[in-house]
Amino acid sequence: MVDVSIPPVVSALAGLATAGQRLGFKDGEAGVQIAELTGVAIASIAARKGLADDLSAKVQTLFGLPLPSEPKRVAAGDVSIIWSAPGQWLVVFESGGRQRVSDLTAALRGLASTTDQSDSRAIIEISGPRVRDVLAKGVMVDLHPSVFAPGNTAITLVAHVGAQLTCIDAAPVYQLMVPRSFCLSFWDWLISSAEEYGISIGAKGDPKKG
Amino acid sequence: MRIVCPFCGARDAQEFSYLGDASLQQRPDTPAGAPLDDAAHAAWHDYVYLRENPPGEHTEFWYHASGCRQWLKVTRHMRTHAISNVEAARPSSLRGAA
Ligand SMILES: [Zn+2]
Repeated sequence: MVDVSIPPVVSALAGLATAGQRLGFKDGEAGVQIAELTGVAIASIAARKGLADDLSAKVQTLFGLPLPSEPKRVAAGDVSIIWSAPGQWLVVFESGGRQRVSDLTAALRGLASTTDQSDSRAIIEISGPRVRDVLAKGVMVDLHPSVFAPGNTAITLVAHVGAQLTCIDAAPVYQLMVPRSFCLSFWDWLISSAEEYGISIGAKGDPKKG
Repeated sequence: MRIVCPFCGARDAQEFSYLGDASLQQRPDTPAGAPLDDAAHAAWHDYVYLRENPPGEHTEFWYHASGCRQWLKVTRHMRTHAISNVEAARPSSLRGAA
């Protein structure tokens, strides 16, 4: 095997906004906080035919987490697992970089097909008192807390861009995963939709950790 | 129109793409290299070109392209568009972890 150096995961939104920045309506407290989650490694895993139960057991021993059988997100420590399709999930590592994906690939060999998706998606976290008003402008899924609570996820269209939307806290806090190649277009929509409420740009994760 | 995906829940029809009649799953069984006789010709013509347009329920394939990327079998009323059933197109044994 040739030893190749593993490049860090770079920010998808670098240069668009900086932490601490205030955008849009300037009076009072910002209605929405927006932060890119950087330095995150993502793996997609797809169960091999007939081995979903074995895969689930293996993942349970690796991370202490079940593989959700419906559109849910589960998390423990710096690892979260998000349902993607029947028999398919995303495993998100908030530290350790791509090495975690390589380790997972090795650990799941024979049980699942694993692909590094760290460069495929940008992860944006949105919170604040007006967050649902912003999302209502582009999301077709019902986000009422009685049906879309913490732990629920949806793969859907947001402002015509394919996105995975997850509720991660009742505050509420939502996480949006969008293809990096659509990032600028999505960012334009997000900022245009949120600026009437006032936006504060935050920071999540450490871009150097990759 | 909304389609209730058995995996994702109720979604707008713009998330799906339509394939066509779900009752046409079997291609005519013509051995490779065999000459097309009149019966085989008629069977292929029917399979490729002719579609029912019933003024009632119709089963059809839809693909949840912007959601779970699964093929669905939808029963839709051709006059009212009312959808009476949606199920996964493939057998449940292939769906993954329970
Ligand atoms: Zn679906």
